[in-house]
Amino acid sequence: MFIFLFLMASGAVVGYRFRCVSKIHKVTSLIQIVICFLLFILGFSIGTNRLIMGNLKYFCEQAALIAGLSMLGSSVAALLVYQFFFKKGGDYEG
Amino acid sequence: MKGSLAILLFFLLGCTCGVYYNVDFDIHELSVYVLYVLMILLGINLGCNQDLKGFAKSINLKVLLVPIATVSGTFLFSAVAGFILSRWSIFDCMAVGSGFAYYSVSSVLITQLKAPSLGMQLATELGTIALLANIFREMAALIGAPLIYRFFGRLAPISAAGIGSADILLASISKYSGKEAIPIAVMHGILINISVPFFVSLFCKM
Repeated sequence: MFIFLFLMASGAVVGYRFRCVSKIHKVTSLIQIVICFLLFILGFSIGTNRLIMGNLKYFCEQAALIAGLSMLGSSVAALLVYQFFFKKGGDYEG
Repeated sequence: MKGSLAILLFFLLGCTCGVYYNVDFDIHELSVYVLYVLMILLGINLGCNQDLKGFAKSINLKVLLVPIATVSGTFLFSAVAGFILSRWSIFDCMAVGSGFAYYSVSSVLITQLKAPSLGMQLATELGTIALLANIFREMAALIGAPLIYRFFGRLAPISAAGIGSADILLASISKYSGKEAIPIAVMHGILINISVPFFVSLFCKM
């Protein structure tokens, strides 16, 4: 965990130091490429796994349940925060 | 949306290649090194943000309540999933939920971190569920933004988006929650982004 946080913090320091260099802002495209490569690797490791490939429907059902509940939970919590702290007299005060 | 589809396409391409081909090196070790590169790049992207100081100044307790709501609501309801899905523990489900739509990082992290305790097979299964769950969350937040706004208010599209509130979902948040919500959405996305490796690691260790 600390390696990941350390690497991210080191990157942030480098990014802040060179924020005026225009080329550094192209890092977003690079991130997209790395993520695509990472997902390709992940897909590859899943594809080689016969057990997972044979039970994709089963995994999709579980994933949909966790995703649905996570979104519902965060939306309900956001509604409570909006009602108690942001909404005054029906007006939105961000 | 195009980015999400490209990622999904690469994932499916990887799956297809994996079904037909085999490699003689450790693919998981390779994914860890690529993840290290990704972490550095994400840090650079965060650091070179020109408005970083302005955003830092705009931090106040009220704005911080939105990511707190996102985190607490997600954890609470993910824990409920732990009771429904008997195969996984509550903390496993919370680790999946704590991806906050950050499917790439969370799925690889979960696979790597759960391998010592669950074994490679179960860890890969949980990583797959994390990947699918977080892709579903981003897609649903993108497509369902008007409904989420209608039923749960102006801040809900931000919370439902998870880390996507700072980039991919910012346009739809601006459309439904108003332009005033943009600084909140960006700050929310940055804070959730930073929290993902921490919370995923935390729940994987529990």
